[in-house]
Amino acid sequence: MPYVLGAGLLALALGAAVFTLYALLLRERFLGFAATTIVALPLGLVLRGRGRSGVEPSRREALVAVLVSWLLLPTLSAAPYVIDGGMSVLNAVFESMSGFTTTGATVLTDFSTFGKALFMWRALSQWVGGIGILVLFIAVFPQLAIAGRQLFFTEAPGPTEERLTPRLRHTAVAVLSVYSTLTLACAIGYRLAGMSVYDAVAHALTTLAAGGFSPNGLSFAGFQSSAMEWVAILFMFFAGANFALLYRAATGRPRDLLRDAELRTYTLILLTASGVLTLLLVGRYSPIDAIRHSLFQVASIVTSTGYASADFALWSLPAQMLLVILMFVGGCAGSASGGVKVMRWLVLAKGTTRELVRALHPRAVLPVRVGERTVPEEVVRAVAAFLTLYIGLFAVTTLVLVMLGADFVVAFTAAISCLGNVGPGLESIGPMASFADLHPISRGLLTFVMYAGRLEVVTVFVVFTPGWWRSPPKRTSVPRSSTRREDSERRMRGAES
Amino acid sequence: MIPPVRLPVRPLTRSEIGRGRFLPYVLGTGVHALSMAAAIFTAYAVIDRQPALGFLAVVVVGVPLGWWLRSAGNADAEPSRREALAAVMLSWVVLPALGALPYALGHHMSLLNAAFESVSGFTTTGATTITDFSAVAPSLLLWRALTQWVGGVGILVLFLAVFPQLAIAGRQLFNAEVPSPQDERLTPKLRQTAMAVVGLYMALTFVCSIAYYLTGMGPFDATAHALGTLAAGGFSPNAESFIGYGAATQWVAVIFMFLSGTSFFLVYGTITGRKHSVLRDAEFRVYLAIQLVAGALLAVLLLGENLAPLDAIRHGLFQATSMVVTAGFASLDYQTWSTPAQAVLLALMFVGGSAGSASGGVKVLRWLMVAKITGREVRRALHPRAVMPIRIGGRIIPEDALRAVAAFLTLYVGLFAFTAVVLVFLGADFTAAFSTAIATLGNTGPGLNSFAPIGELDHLPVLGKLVLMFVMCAGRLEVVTVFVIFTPGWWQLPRRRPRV
Repeated sequence: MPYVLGAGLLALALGAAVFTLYALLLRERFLGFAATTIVALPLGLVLRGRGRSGVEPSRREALVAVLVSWLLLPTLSAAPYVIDGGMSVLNAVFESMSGFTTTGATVLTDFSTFGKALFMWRALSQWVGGIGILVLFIAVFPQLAIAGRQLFFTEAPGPTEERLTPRLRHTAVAVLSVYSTLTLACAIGYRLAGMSVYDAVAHALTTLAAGGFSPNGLSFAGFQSSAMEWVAILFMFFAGANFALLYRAATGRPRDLLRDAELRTYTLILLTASGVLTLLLVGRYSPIDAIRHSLFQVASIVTSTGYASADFALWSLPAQMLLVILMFVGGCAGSASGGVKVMRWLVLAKGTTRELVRALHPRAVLPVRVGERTVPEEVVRAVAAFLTLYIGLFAVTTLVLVMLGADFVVAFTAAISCLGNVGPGLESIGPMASFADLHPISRGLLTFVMYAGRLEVVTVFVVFTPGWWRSPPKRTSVPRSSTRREDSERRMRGAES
Repeated sequence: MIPPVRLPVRPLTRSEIGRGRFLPYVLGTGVHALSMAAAIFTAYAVIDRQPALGFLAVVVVGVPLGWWLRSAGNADAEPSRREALAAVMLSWVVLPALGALPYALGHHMSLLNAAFESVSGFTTTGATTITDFSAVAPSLLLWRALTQWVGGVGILVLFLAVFPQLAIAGRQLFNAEVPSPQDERLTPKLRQTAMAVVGLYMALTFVCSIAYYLTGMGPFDATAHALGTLAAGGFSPNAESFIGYGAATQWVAVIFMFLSGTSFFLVYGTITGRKHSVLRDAEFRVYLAIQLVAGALLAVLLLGENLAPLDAIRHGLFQATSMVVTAGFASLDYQTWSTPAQAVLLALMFVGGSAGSASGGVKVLRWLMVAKITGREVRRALHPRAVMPIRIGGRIIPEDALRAVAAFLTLYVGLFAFTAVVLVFLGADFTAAFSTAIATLGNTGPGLNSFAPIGELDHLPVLGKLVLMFVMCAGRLEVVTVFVIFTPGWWQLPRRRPRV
């Protein structure tokens, strides 16, 4: 654990150092970046010195590493917002958490208080958060079998059995290369569509992370360029797709794209919802504009990006309702998008249908299938529990926000938007507004909700189980029947490092 | 060569004798009972010089229909699962249809509104399209209350005798007297228990009406309210529900609403001395705790609305109980309450009373199970191979029941969201749509905003009313029952051995 944390902190220190120089170059305030560097560097060095890279962590330790990283990095990166941007500490942590969780909810009301460097820092935090979550989803959660994650990658080995295999490591590298390549392509796309280099980079970083921060207070509506919006639609679509699948398609198996059940459902949802939304918007915009705005907004909400090509908080109630429902969907597993994820909905729908059939045939043996694969029972169970927890946290958050003075619609949309890492809500927290007017406790709670939503809820709630706080039993590693060969392999690896 | 399989020769079972004869028997019995009640109402209306045509129509249609159905059926017939499910669904269509006649004939109600009112009654929901209560004859208001009471009897029989055997939506474990699921028919013991529970329901209704009378209601109002209270229905013959009555009456209502949401098995067991302590019952404890906590929370919130402390406690408890047991009575116009207080009411609508009562909603026992399932999965993140059976009140819950409950909740929430979307598309605002969706699905009754306890549902478009009628029925019949007909297997012809 210390090793992982240390590595993260060193990367952060490096990034902050670069930004210190960048801010100096732009003649903007740089003390915040410098402060982050100064704190993160020694801390990272110490932690890294204490940890070892080859060690195989226990489940508990792996979970702690994840939970602590997503707390420590956002907190440290909040310093520039406070020192250079003049934000309160709570707001800065909110903003920073919103970045690292790729949410995109903002408490920024006056966009002129931030310098260019600070906006880029904000965008970069989302991109880095995207990398973090991809690594987590590909390398860590499937092994820990969290919230049904073991199912989401064909590449992932059987649950709880193996460590990061060379094959898995290969997948992680492949996925990250897809992510980087797409980001680069997206930036070029934006530039060609007419953005400045700075805006193109800042938006590309947050598009692929399905984040949604924009240095422009009006998001994409501030550019009034349909070309840019079409580019954004395309890359948001990619941002919500399974990167491992895209990699396979790019390296010679394009037919996999068509055969993938999740991608098909994802595309179907996008097209259907855009179709309905177009019909609802035709009165407000010309047909072509209605199609563009619909596609843009649906892609932005489903992938949990949160960009706005228009102020949808002013649309008709049915149109708004549609967007709210879409906030529950989420992109594909294996992307940096938030939300429940299409794959989980598929498993859930099939699991529920099975129970209906069972009402008629109680003894039938009916395996749940998604695509060509049979879903193991424990995954069906884990997905159901995940959703219960998800909806439960959503309901509690809504209730607390209402108690603290928000009205129904604001509370409801703030809760799902933060839990699903989408970003904007409706009414007073709409895409052109900010979360700054909410009660301070509400903002604190929403910070936690973004965190919990990003880490698949279950991960966070493990901390609240009584078993978590008991001192670990003697055998701390994952209970498994290690063979002699594995033991010797491990010893060899230990010797290498 | 494979030798031909020789099937053992056996005598015909009762299920084979009576195939297809359970459904008409059940339907016929229901229709008969209803037409008998209608006959009494006809007499009452004639004597009291009120419009009697509708009641008479129920008798004229119901008596021959019921006679015909009963003659086609057989009391001893054992149904297949498909037939039992069909009987349940048809009952909740035929009886409301028949019960709608008095509203439609002679009372200037549109056919749709009459059907809506009737469905709302038989599902013990309590949502109404009536806006001007003074224009409705007292006999019809009493009929309205009676439909709820009859709906309550129906649902008790269903929950006690039919669903546990069909193992629907985790129902199999809701009552310890039920034999092992799926295998047995209505045992004499079960039939006896069902009779006893229905008897208890009647007795409580009687006591409740007396108590209402003693605390200052007229005999008519006392009867009508008692019928609506024990069924957890919520129809009141007044436009203002309980708002106009004194504190004593409201306290009586709190007590009987609380009882109406308690498991009748538990009450029966306590009375007959078989259960020693109600507080040892896991579901009852949670049920009680929810009401007390919610009541206290509401009382605190109501203190901010300039109510005296005692009044705040009374209204808090009244409204909390009314929402939890899905009655839907109002002791104050909660439409004018602050948003936080309304949010608490809305959240409570999702709770529902105990299993084994006539209340609607998800039910406390299911929430207990869902909480335990979820807790188990969270712990599994740490110990993926641990075997953790789920216990409630000392009993281990079978895995298939847990799965069924999870599926039930998914369908329930899914239908809720769908209904809310439809209502928004039909012109409702967010608050009205969400509150009406859960209030009808949970069989509570009135929602918030434009569909509040006093402003009514009348201005909803036709499609909206139809959807809400469906939702009320689906909610009442445990959702799963209704959605079974959307599975492809339902429409396939039964094979030779239809019993699985």
